[in-house]
Amino acid sequence: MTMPADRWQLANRLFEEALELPDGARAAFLLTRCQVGHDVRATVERWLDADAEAANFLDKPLVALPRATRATVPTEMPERIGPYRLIEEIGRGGMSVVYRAIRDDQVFDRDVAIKRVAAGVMSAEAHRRFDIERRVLATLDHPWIASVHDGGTTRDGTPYLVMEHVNGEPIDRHCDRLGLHTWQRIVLFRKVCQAVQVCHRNLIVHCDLKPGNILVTQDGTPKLLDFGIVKLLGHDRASGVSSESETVWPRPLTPRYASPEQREGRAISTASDVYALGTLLGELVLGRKGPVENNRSPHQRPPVDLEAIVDRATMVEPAARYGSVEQLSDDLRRHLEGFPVRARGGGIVYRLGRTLRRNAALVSTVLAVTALLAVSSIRTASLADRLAMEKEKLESVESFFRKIFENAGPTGENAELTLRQAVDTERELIDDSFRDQPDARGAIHAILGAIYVDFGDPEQALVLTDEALTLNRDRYGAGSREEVGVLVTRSAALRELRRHDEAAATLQPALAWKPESGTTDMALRVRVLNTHVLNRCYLERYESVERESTQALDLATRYLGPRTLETAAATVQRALILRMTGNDAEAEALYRKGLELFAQNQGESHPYRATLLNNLALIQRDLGDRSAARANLEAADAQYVVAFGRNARQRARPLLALAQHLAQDGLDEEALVHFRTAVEISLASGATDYIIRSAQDLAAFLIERGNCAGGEDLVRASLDAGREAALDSWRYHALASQLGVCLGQTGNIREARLQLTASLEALRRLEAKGEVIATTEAYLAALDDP
Amino acid sequence: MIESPQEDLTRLLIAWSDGDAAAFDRLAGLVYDRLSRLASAYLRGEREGHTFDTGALVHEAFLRLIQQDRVRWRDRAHFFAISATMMRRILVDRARRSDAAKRGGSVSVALFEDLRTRVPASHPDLLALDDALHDLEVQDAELARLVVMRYFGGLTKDEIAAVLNTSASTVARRWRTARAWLYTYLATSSAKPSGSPSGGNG
Repeated sequence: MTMPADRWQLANRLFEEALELPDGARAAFLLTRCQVGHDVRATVERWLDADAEAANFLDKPLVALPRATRATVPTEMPERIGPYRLIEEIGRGGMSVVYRAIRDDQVFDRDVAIKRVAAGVMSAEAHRRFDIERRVLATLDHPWIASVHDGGTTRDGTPYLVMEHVNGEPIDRHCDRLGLHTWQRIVLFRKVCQAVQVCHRNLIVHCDLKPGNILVTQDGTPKLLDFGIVKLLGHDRASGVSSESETVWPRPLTPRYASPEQREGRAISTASDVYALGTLLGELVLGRKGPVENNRSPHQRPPVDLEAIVDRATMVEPAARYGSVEQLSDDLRRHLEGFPVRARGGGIVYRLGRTLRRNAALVSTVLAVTALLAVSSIRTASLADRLAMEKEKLESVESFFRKIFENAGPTGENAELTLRQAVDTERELIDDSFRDQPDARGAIHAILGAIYVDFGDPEQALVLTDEALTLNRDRYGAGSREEVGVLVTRSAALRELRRHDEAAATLQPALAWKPESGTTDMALRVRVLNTHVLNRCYLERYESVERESTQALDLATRYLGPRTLETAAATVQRALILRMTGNDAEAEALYRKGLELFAQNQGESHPYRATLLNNLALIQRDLGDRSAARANLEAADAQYVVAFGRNARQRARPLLALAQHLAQDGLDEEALVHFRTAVEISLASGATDYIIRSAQDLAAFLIERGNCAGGEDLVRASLDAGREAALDSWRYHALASQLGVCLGQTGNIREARLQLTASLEALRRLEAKGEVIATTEAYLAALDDP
Repeated sequence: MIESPQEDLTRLLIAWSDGDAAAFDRLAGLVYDRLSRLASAYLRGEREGHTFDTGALVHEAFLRLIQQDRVRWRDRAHFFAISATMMRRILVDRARRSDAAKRGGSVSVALFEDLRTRVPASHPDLLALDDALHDLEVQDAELARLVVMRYFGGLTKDEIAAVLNTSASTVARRWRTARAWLYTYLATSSAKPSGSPSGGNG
């Protein structure tokens, strides 16, 4: 049916020309141009017929574009919108434009960002969407979420939003430009997680998390932007959004960050944000895209943990991802602090390796020592039990564990199998496989019990140690070495469950056990003593373990040597007992030694070392060695910054102590700065206990100076932040009463009275310490009777 | 599926519009896969009672696939054009598969059943149209492209003009020619089983 090109062109030209003419004139026109019977003329005639006949043919594109979301010719920037003068265009999305603007009347001279619907987009949907974005932003009052100031409609009916102008750069660029370390990136990323959590708590899914929507300001504060395509979950009374709550609007997504369910138009949930965050994390810390890679030396492999975390967050199936942003953030914290991450599911080899590397990384001394012991319990348990086993038993037990390792380890054929699954599978077989070897069965249960304690499942440890106890008792009788080992594990499990009385009681028979000489028995004896001392510390009965703590340290030093964690634990615990029984001088010396042992074991940069430094400094301060105290506090603070970043809540502890130090030196202004920083960091971390404690110290300082001007704002902010979580804590109400005192000092008698009266009532209800109640009463009385 | 060739696409698009002809094939390959998936998602249903037009497949696909801010408006139009080509392939492939299934295949192709019911009366049988377009390509490749952009991509006259480097009024005239040619072609080949201009309705 094809025509030669010249005729085709002729037909085309004639057809087009004929179309210009009225219907009646076309035939005559063709006649003048072509002969009758010429195939070009026949063709053109057929086309003209077709054109008349089929006006609607193919008229409607099979695939058309909705005008509303069309990205076409750029919109002209108007000179002004409402009372704002526009300065420049700073962003453009599928259907909106964002300008930097300034308020003309100079009511505030700060820049604002104005977002408005792009020209040509006038749908009711756009209006509705703007309205919802405005309400959403108004609901989300958080320092890391861009706030909305105002909103309205221009004269031509275009809706606009006036928002905080965030002077920052996209988070990925920020990280690269400053060459941030991985841990610094993680710290920053966790803040973003926190902001997203705030959204989710308000039943808002952001749906478009990407670097361009997460800016970082010069001082390192992240800001979440652009709530243009949020999804509202369920009914949200607070935002007043109508019943059409399951709405998500079609809008160009950013495919790199959009979850598979978003891309495919399936149901969206908070898991979709988890996906986007996971993708972002991958870019920030693994350099899965872009320039991060270049900064990394080729020898450094990306950390397996981080890869696991990213993979977990970006699973295709929403249900397979982290259940919440909080869980993602929490796993990152675990990574930072050296704990096994949950993303890796718990292959036993991995978790053992991780835990043994970590050894200890908890915040307070006492808790840290728990971790030390927990770890040593595994090491020593397996070691001691092995050494004590007869050959046959040893072989059985070893083959059992080899099997678990093979199944659960990352090198095994089923790398996904978790420790729990592997153990559960094998456990069912224990009784069958070892029917004739009750001693091996007992040993296996005991070791598994220790493993479970260390891996944070003390309930399971109790079940296992229960079985181990029964088996061992049948085999070895009461009071055997085997039983002692199990009791230590059991006691640790109970302590983890905060059942301290039971933990202490469980250990009693083990304390009565008489070891024979030899390293095996001595190691076990040290474990028993360390466990006992720690149990008593939790019960705040420090004096009662004077002798045991000394003995533990003595045995550990003599039999186990300085390079074991058991020795480090015994040293730090002994120092703690000395400190608590009022022997600061000796405590200080020992603490320093413990610090040294710990560093030998774990290296100088371990975060836990910062905690030890901080505690050492407090002892030195009380001893009057102020310069040493100050140096160690500064060192502790610096180490926390290195380990967890500038906004690590842990910093509050050394900072508060430093602030008090400065206050004593009369350097009030500098002290106030430190107090304020401690409170601000605590507030940013959201950790209620840190917030209240820091604010209490700040308030005490203010009261002492008789002027609450320099910190009233933060005390109030702390009370606000702690309200929900701390309503039942006496500390919260003590802080409230401190605020009352402050107010009274500043002359605000009426509010002071209200504050103090309310606090007093709450403190009485909570049966707070007598002195706290008495102080509050005294201040209240002073107000009434000036 | 998780990794995104977004950057790649953007780069290829820029390369192509800067005259790198080889970039087109790469671009097309990358786009086909994604559009296909998108088409499935849409056809699978969520938008009952609508035709494709509200789906805005190509446009949305485009926006999802490239970084708008790095691509000039004219190049976007080009990308629409490519996407339209891909969309033609996707829809015709589906139609072909469905046809095969009906003629004796055991596979049920719910997808196309779905598609078929949504094609409004003014649309022809897709397979017949595709055949016609193949012939038109031989005769006048540019005219065939215009049809693809307009019909499978829903591009406006302005956009097509940008792609073909001509004026909007020329596009309007050429479109009428193309339509008349196709109509005539389909009407005269209606004796063949592939159908007539209105063959797709029944």
